[in-house]
Amino acid sequence: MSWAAHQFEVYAVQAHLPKKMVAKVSWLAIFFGDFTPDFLAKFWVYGFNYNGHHYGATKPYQWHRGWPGMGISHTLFFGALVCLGIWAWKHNRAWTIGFLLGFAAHVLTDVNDSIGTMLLFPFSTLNWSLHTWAYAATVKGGKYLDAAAYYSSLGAVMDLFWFFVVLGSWRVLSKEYWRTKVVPADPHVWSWLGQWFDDRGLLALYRGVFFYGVCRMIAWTTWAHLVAKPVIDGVKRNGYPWDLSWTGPWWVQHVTLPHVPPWVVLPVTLVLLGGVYFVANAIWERMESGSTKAIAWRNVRRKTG
Amino acid sequence: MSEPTRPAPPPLPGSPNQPPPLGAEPTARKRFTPRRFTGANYIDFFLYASAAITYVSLSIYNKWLLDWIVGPVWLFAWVWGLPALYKLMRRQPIRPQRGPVGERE
Repeated sequence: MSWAAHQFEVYAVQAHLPKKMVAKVSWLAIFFGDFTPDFLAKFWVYGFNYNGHHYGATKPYQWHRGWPGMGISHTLFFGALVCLGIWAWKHNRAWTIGFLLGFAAHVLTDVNDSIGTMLLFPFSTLNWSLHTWAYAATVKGGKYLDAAAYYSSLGAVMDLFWFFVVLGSWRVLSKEYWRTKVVPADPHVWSWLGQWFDDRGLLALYRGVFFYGVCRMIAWTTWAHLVAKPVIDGVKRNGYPWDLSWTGPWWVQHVTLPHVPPWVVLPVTLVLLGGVYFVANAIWERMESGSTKAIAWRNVRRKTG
Repeated sequence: MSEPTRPAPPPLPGSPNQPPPLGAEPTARKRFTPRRFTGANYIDFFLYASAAITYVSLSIYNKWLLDWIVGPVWLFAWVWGLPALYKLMRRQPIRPQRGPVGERE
């Protein structure tokens, strides 16, 4: 799984929207799209302890990304279903397309760990994984071991990569960008919030996800390498060892699910990424008339009802 | 959740709080100091930096703070809450004073 990368993706997607969608696709929808897969699946992955008993998935990796399990929450198929639901409910292309792009970013990024995601579900329940780093969520190790493994492996590089992608588009974090490109796509939500909070507060809400991503990246890395005193193979260490080799780190078990050969994953993932943008581009114009009709009809009902 | 063609929403954030006074020179704004050199920007920078330093420092030893709700709320509480607290202590209103839609321009 990816950690802060998912926070940075939200801004990266927003900053790299196709020109015709700028200031029209909802940033909040991108956020919810990117976070929905883990909203649905993550809690039970780590579980919780109560009265000395652990409640949670017995095989976290199977639950998180497998089938049977909640692996469906990390499939493009599920994202498309939710988008259809949003469209059927609100006829709102700003939210439908925003959710689609955010969701796809999450699913496609998660092919990097050793479990990967079921990219072609429901046609295939095989997982697609590049095995870039080891998936490390375990019942015994919980969140701490998972974090330590991620921030000692190429996962940390992945977070840094997305961090620099956002920094390369730093204007996406500016007040001017928020005012001219983010607020107009969600005027009602920001106006409603604006009744209580001034621009400084609203801007902090907008930047909050990026702030959280940066801080969690620094905090977990610092803890894993400067504070923690793990015992690995019977040896007490000052900090978890770094291992930037493929499928690292060496000191966690490298779990997998039935998967396709890794060499096909990168090209297929890139094709799917291009496909998602192509589909979003292609249906964007067509959705406009549906949106307009739905809004007009809603206005008529408001006036008459 | 809306399209720009929907019914007019309340005044948008980022809009001027009050309409310019009658007879004001339209070019007066050009004489303002660029935003990046204003005191408000230094205050913002201090608020963001202090939010990050406190959050990271505390969360290294209290990892329950490293949560996707706590993190953004921490920033919001720091950047909006502290100035709001200061205003409350000085008996100033903390809710934004935005004019109705028609008065914006």
